[in-house]
Amino acid sequence: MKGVLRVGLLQFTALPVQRWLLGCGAVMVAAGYLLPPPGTVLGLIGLFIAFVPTLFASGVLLRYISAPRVVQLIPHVRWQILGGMVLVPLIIATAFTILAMSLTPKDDHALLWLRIAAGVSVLLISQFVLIAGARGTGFWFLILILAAMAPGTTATRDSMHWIGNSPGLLGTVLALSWCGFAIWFLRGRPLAAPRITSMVGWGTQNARTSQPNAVRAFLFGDPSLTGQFTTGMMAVVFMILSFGLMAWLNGSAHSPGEIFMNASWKAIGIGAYAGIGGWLVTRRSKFLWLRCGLDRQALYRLCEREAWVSLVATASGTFLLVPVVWLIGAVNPLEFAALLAIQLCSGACLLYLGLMRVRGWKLIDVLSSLALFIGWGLASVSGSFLAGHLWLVLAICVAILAAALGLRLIGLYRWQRIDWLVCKPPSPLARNEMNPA
Amino acid sequence: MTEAILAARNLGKSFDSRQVLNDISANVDAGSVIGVLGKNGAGKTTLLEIALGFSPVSSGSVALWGHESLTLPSAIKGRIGYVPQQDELVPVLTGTQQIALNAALHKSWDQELIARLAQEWEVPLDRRISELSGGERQKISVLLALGHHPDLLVLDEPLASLDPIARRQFLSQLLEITADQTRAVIFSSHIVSDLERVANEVWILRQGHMAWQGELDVLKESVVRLHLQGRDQLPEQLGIAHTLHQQVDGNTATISVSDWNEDVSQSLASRLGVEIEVEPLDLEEIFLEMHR
Repeated sequence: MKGVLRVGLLQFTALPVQRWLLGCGAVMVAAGYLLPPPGTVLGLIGLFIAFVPTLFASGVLLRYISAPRVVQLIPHVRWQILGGMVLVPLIIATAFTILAMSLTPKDDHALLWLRIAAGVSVLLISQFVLIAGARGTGFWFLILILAAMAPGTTATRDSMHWIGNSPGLLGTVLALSWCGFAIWFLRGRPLAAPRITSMVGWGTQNARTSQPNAVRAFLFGDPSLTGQFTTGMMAVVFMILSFGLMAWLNGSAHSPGEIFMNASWKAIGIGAYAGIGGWLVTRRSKFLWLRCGLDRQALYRLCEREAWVSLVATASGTFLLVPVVWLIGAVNPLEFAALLAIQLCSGACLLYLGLMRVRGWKLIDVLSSLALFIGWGLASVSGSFLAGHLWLVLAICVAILAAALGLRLIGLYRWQRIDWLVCKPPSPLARNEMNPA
Repeated sequence: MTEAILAARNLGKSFDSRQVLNDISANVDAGSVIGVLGKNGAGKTTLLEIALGFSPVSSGSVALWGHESLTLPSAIKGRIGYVPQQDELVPVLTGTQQIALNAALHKSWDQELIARLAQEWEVPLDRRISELSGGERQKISVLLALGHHPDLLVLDEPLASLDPIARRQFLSQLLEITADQTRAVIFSSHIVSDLERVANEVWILRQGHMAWQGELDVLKESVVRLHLQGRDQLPEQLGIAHTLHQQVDGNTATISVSDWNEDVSQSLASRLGVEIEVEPLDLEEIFLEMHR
């Protein structure tokens, strides 16, 4: 029982960011209870903030926990992990239901509990089962996107409405999900830890021996610049195909041009994601300290340059969308380019956030990340409005770049005394578990 | 007088409120082979990484060839070879690629030496790093640290995954490196017998403090086990300075002491009226006595 509780607790507190958000969420929930009725919504937002990392990380986390052979030798370990896993939907559904009881006392709260428990269960189980490799991860995200788009078609909307309003059906979904998973999980077959970075490094057999390649190999685990370009291009193609398919299936776009445009608006999000290189190089910068002969400031600039190269390479596919949009003529290519610029500026901001995060999650790191995430989200959902106001887009881009510049200064200051005993490279332990050679 | 390769003065390190190293002072001179001993969590890796500039000190100072570690110039870094506890190899590369890319970052690289050692140590350089065993990866890490003929070689647990044959080969290589008395080696290991075989100096860390530092021979002469045999019952408290451990049983007693010399035995014999037999200890026993 202690093991079950520990696994359950771990899923809410394993990552530092989880603990932070859990704390913030708890404060907001408490404030929500104390405030008069409109303020109780704050509690709802607080619960979302507290549980979001658990919803999107605990499946992967549990797979990491279950995989090591040392863990597999512990008696009844699978039962304990399963028990801890079941606690997650129970806790989340109960927390939301209790809050909903104070917000809307007349609603059917048993049904709400079942809905949340079923949703969280499906999310958690699918994560655990699918996120075992690069393909599975892509597939999981595709399913997630499809599920998010599902209410767009009448048939799926009706089906969801039918299931969601029937306690019996929801209970069946819940029971079947867990029973099916339990049978699969408890049969004792060895599990592999997630290998979500397994695509990195393809085609490195012909890696050329040069200093830039060596630097890239140590910073990204892959000396091939072509690999980064190819990954970026493939990501765009993948997003265009998947979102295009969804737009076609749910009838939100009809002509090929419309379908392409519909998908392109989403695909430019890769421009923001491309800034992730800043986070990667920071953690691996230790490898170059003795090798490159650079001082800390120069090493920062080298890492910054490599992160920018990575950003441009990864986002290159989105640049190609601009001439295609111009050729199709469905929208003004200038407006499209302007919205792409917002994404790329967000990418730059993300890059500098990664470069400055050398002391763990300090308050300024959390606040900056939240500000960027919220700002990026708002800019992304108001694309159609912003497209008609290019001066506003320009102002947003300038504001984001100014923020990025501020983060750069913080980063440069912090790197003067970067401590690689704190900012540790990725642990090879997980890698060894992945490759038990 | 020649400049010390490494000089640490009152070095301290803390993470938030946790003190990991405290008031460490030490010198490393050319020709030294220093073995660093300590229990898990004693601060060995932290000490070595601070010395190499990976981490700033919280108090005191540490310098390599007179340059502060945190701001080591390029020329000094080129004189250091480092084998970290957790290897820094790129899993998708083959051993050959890894060595070639590493060589690309150094001004000079002795490929001939690396090829010879790789052959002697039977390192499968044609296979991907991700396919290699822990020992094979460790051998490659050591090769990477030797290719540029470093003047200071720092090895953090380099022997942990090596088989006995590889360990012997590696240790003889270490002795070869320091034979010309211009270079120094610092290495931490839990395999005390190996350390005893090659080290001429020892640092023993205990809970972040330097419990002992100096030449290995001096350590072995000064830490001994004394067997006392008296005619009468011996007192519970024998009042012997620098006692590490003592066990009194009637008219016999066994005492481990540091800082021992003949005078200590003579004064003890006359004070307690006992016969004393002195048992020399090997390094492993000394380490265990110090941590009892």
